[in-house]
Amino acid sequence: MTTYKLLIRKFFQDRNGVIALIILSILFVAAIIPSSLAPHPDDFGATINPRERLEAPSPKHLCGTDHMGRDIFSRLIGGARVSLMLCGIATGSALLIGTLVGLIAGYYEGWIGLLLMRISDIFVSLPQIVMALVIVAALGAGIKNAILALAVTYWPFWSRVVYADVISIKKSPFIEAAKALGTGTTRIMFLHILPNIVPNIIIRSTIGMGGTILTAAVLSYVGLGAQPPISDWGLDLSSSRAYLPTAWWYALFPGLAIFLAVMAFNMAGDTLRDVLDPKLRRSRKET
Amino acid sequence: MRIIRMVMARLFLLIPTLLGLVTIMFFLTYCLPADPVSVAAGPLATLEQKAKIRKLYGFDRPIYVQYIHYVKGIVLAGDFGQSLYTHRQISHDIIQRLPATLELSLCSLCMGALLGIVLGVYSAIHKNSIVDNLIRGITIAGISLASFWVAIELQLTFSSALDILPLVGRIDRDLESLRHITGFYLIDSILMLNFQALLSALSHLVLPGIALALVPLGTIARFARAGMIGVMERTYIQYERAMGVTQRLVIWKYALKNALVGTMAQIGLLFGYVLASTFVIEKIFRWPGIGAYALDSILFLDYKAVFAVSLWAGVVYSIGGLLGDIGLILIDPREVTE
Repeated sequence: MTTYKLLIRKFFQDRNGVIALIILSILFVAAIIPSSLAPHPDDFGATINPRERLEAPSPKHLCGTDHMGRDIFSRLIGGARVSLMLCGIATGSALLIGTLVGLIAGYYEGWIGLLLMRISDIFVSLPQIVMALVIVAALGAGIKNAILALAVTYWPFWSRVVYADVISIKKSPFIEAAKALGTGTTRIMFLHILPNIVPNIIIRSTIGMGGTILTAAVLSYVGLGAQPPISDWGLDLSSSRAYLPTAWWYALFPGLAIFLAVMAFNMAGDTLRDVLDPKLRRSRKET
Repeated sequence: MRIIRMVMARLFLLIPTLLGLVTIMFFLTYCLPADPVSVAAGPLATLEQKAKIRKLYGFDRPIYVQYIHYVKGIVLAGDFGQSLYTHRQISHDIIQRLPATLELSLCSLCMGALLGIVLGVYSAIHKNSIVDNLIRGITIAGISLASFWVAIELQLTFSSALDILPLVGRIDRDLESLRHITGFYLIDSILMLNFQALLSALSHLVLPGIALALVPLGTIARFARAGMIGVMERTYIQYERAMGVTQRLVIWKYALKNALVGTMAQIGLLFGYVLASTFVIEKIFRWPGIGAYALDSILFLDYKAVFAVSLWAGVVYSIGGLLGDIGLILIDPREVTE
């Protein structure tokens, strides 16, 4: 238990980590109870208020209103749920598949492993967004297909990360000892190797969440992600184009929301790296 | 010599990867339910018209015949087929658009990388100072921004509100008839000593360039800072300091090389990132490059064009990685692997 306490204390000693944690907490609360936080929860959907169309930010509408008279601030809160859900599911499933593939390929190294890794290599020979765009364009726009495309194009990254880790760990003496004691293969993989990879996975998935939010925003922006009238940051940015440059607030605030969310995940990832992985102290050296 | 051999080996290994890429894309798009013919023919097309288009583009043949025919065309003749959208040879489209994309992305990569190195090194030397914290804030913001949003905000600020930089395009309309020598407007205008054109091309390059440069800048600054901090603690640096070598010489001549080892591994990734960003950025700035073409062909399900731009993306990505490795070898010749 003391190790965990120590790690948590180290996390809170980092100012960036605390800032990130605050932003992320707000984000998660907004995602869980958007209706109770938003001043105009009706505006998450297809409400039309023609009299309040494209109003500049004011005390009544903190971030102004959009072309249908909906409160943009409320829609940003509604968008938190869509963003976190979409990116959480996509990153999570990619991580599960990729970890499994990486574990098997790294542990057995036979022709199955070789084949799996070659397939991963081919996927990784292309920036993720390119293939994701192709898949969603062919399947049809929408949140479900966006999640599917993001997960399908993201697992090879994880399998490569895990594969490299497994290769380096499985030669350690403690694995040999476990084998010599007659420990089963599954047990070695999941109870002896996997726990040693988890810190790396946690760090990378935190940063990966930020990256996935950006990728998902691109999908929405080109019209392949969330569809109107859903509250989605990328989608709102996309619909704002028709009302620029007059309605500057319409494009500004959804972009800021994306920026803050991604930055929070990146900063949290940096801090986690400092805390969990002393070997990889990239962002900071203790003085 | 060993570098050349390594480059040749890597380029050779590129062939199976690209072939695999085309194969995966080909069968992936075949498995997906969308019908490119319906999109190309439009919603009002009759069944006969669709059948005609299907026959014209060879979609009526079995998939493996299409595949073999397609790969043969690329390998033997560099023929990527005809675009369903522009109705022209895809290879022609891409070659015509290549200089625009290269000019934009190379300029922003170079500017981002140079500035990133300077910021990262400065930040490392003044570790934990106010300036360091400021630079670290800027760099983490740089990698967290959606480049398409930055592009829109730049347009709103510098084109619409301040009116000091052009909103869209690659060069002023009345200069478009500029004679194309290389297709790179910056080089062409210098070759012809046409400084008006040079100025116009530069001013059009600024905003999309900034939007694309932010991530390379942030990434490289972060890695350069981390590398520099690590190197400055090494004993050989302490020795040089003790010998009275000036700070400037220690940093920029002796420390920098080793500090950039970690950065070099990021170059391939950054090439890929900038390339993927050009899709949307070129669209926003109506830049006549491959990125906008790629996005259009994806949205129109113009699969032959999609395969071609995927290959282009794969090639750029791999070359980026290769350049990073060459850079690594130039820094540290022990890194050559067979």
